[in-house]
Amino acid sequence: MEYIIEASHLEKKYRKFKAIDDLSIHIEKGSIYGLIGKNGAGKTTLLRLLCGLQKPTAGTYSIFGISNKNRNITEARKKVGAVIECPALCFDMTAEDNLKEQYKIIGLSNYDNLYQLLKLVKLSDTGKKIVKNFSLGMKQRLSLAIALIGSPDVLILDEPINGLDPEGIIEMRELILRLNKEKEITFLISSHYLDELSKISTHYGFMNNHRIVKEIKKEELEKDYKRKIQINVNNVNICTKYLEKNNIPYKIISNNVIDIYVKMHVSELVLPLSKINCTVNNFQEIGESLEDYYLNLIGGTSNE
Amino acid sequence: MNKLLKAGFFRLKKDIVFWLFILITTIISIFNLFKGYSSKLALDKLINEFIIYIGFLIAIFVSIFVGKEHSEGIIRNKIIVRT
Repeated sequence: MEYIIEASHLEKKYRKFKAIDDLSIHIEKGSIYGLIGKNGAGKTTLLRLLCGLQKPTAGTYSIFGISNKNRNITEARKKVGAVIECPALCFDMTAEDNLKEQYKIIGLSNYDNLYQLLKLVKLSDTGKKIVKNFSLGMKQRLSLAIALIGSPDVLILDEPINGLDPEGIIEMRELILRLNKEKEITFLISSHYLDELSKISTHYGFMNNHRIVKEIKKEELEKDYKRKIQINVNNVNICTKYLEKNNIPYKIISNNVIDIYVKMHVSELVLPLSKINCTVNNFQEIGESLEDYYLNLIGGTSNE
Repeated sequence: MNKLLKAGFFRLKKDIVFWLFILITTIISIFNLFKGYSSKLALDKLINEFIIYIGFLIAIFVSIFVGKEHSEGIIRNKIIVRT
C-alpha cells in the first residue's frame, strides 16, 4: 500500500504536557482521511507537525516517503497545501489579489489558472469586494483556493466546515469530493462534524488521549456498525414478554417503541406478535451512525 | 527570499495604510521645505528635524504592517509553503 503521509510513534511535548503521544497514522494515496477527536485531542497539533509549523519531540513522519529528518522534506512539502486554524488571508485585498500574492510567495511567474481557481470555488464574481466583507463560507473557500495554488497532491484542512451555514457545508463537501475525484488530491481533514465527515471520508482516524486509537476504512467501518431494529407496538408489555420468552435482546425506548438488537425478518416478528394481540405499527432497521461508533470507541461521556 | 520580497512589495502596493503614510510623509516634507526656506535654516538642521518625523512614521507603519501579517496568519502560510 502506498502511503502519502505516514507517522510512527510521533510525540509532541510542551514541557510536561504531551499534546501528542505515541501517535501513528497512515494516509493512503487518493483517500479522504477524516481525523476525528474531541477538543484538545491533539488534532491541530498533529496537522501543525505535518505542515512543519512545529517539530516533533520524538518519533518520525514521512511525506511522499521522505522522512522529516531528511533535508529534502522541504521539497516534499511543496506538494502539500494546507489551511490550518483560521484562513490565512489578507483582509484588505480582493480575492484575486490574495491569490496573486500566493502566486508570488510560491514563485510562480504567471497567474495561470487564477480565474479557473476562482471559478472552482465560486468566487469569480466578487470583483472589487475586499475579503474583510466576505462571509465566512467565502473566506473558507478562498483559503482553499489559495491552498490549491501550485497544484498540491495533498491538502490538509483543519476544520474546513466550522461555522459554515448548511449551504456552505454542502458546497464545501462537493468541492472536496470534486477535487478528490477530478484532480486526485488526497485530503486530510479534521472536523467535529461527524455526520459531514461520514459523507465524504474514505478513511477514518479516531483520536483520543493524544493518540490515534483506531484507523479504519469506510467499508470496514460500515461492516463494524451494529444494526438494530426499532419497532412501534400498541402494547409494550405483551411484546416484551414475547421477546423475553424467545431470548431476544431488546431495550424499551418509550411507551410504544422498542429497540431489538438481533437481525430479524418482518414476518418473523410481526406474525407471532399479532397472534398474541400485539400489533406492530412500524418496523424499521436502523444502522449505527459514525457518532455512535465514535462514542462507543472512546467511551462516551465517561471519558470527559 | 526574492519571492518573499516580491510578495511583500505586492502587498505593500495594495495597502491603503502605506499610501496614507506616503501622503503624510510627502505633506510633511513639503511643509518642512517651505519652513526651511522661509526661516532660512541650515540644511543639516532641516534634514535632522525631518528624519525624526520619518522615523516615527516608519516605526508606526512597520509595526502595523508586520503585525497584521502575523495576526492574519500570512506568516504561517509562508512557512507552510516553504519559500
